[in-house]
Amino acid sequence: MKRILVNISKDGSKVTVETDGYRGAACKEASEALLGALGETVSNKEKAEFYQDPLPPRGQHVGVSEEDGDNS
Amino acid sequence: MSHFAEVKTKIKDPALLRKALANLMGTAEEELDFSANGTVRGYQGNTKTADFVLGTSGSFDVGFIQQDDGSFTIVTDQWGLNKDRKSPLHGSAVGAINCAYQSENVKNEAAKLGLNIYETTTLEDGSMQIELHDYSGDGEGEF
Repeated sequence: MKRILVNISKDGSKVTVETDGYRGAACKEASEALLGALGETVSNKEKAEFYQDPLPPRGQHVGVSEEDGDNS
Repeated sequence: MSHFAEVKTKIKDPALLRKALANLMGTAEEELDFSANGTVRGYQGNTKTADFVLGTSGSFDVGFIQQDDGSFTIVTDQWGLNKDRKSPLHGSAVGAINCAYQSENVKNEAAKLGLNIYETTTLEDGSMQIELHDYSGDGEGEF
């Protein structure tokens, strides 16, 4: 589940956008379009998942062969 | 969690503003007293011209004046508006309007981006949280 949580401060002066469930740079792409329309971005922080590799396309098998995993 | 950003907001779109004001005032857009190039009524009969004016049932209005960057600032006599304790503008007209506008802005942009508006919640601190779901690329709806 990929979701975006938008929090609007009580006085409406500040909006925070938090992405959840995205992997890699997809999270930034998902929020950038939204952020651009909302106003001037004053801070932008990547979380742990930002540095994870994106998931492979559906149906694509990813594995490590015995030869790949043994360099000795 | 993977990404977190903070945005300083502005009111930019008069059409969205009108929609937000209608929601805030609990009325249909067609019934809203919202006009262009009007006069804002203030304290002791003072007036000010504004690019857009939200008229109220009391003696005080809310004006929106366009700035050089295209955004709008809000002009009003909050003291006067506070006389009407039942009004949604009571307490903080500027805050209530800003918050209502940003809510409409988020929903509008989410729709453009194909995001599903899952839930809108008012939190204990008075802030508003909108949860958007993104079904793109995860195969939902496929057979």
